[in-house]
Amino acid sequence: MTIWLGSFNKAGCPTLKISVSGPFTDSLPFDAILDTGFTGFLSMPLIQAIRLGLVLHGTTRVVLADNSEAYKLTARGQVTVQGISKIGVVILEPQGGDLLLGVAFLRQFGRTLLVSQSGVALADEQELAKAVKTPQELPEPSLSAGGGQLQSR
Amino acid sequence: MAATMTPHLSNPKEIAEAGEKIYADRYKNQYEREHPAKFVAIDITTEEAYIAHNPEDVLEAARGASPHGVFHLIQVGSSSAFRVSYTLHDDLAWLFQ
Repeated sequence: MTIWLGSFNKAGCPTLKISVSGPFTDSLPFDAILDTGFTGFLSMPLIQAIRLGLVLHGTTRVVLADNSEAYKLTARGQVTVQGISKIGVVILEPQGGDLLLGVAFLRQFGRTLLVSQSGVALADEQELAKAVKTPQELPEPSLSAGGGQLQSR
Repeated sequence: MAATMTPHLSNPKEIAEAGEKIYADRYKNQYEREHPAKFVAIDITTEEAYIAHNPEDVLEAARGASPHGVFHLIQVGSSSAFRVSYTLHDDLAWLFQ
């Protein structure tokens, strides 16, 4: 199974090494935070987007965790992970510092995020589905006399 | 003859507000009945709307149809297109002054 391994940053956030590119410049490498509270593809500081020459789409409105809202600029950007590239909508943060990968990133790359105390992994969703049997596919449990765990006294 | 709204294209807040006004005036009622939860890109230069199941597809289609367009992205039936866990409450206008 193809697994991408991430890591934890100093703040304890799960991160993944990615490259971001626009249409006219070489890609740049980043350690991006995996943020399942973000429904978009990628959020990045505006200054980095200018450096990469990302093409501006326009604007959108976002809602924050406290239900307040803000307008953001959007751009078209390409993210590459281990040789696989996808194009998505990039939210531009005028003053932010971190790059954030959201749920749309996982959907577009077809990845399942696995986070444990010891590490961060992104598994191929289709390969994982094949490897994990659903309850319907498992054989019926056989309860022999005296061998079951749900016996009443 | 109806007055044409000409937003200042250098001001992101005005672009967004222009896009939301075009959407509310021309598309919202129909789209909320027929396309719940889909994504809409409003080209504020032409007032055309593009619609698709996800943000990437709608903006790619809109850019293909209108290469010089300026698009405001909306999710049908929602006040916002994305949810973010944190951001700074920044006023974008200073960028373009």
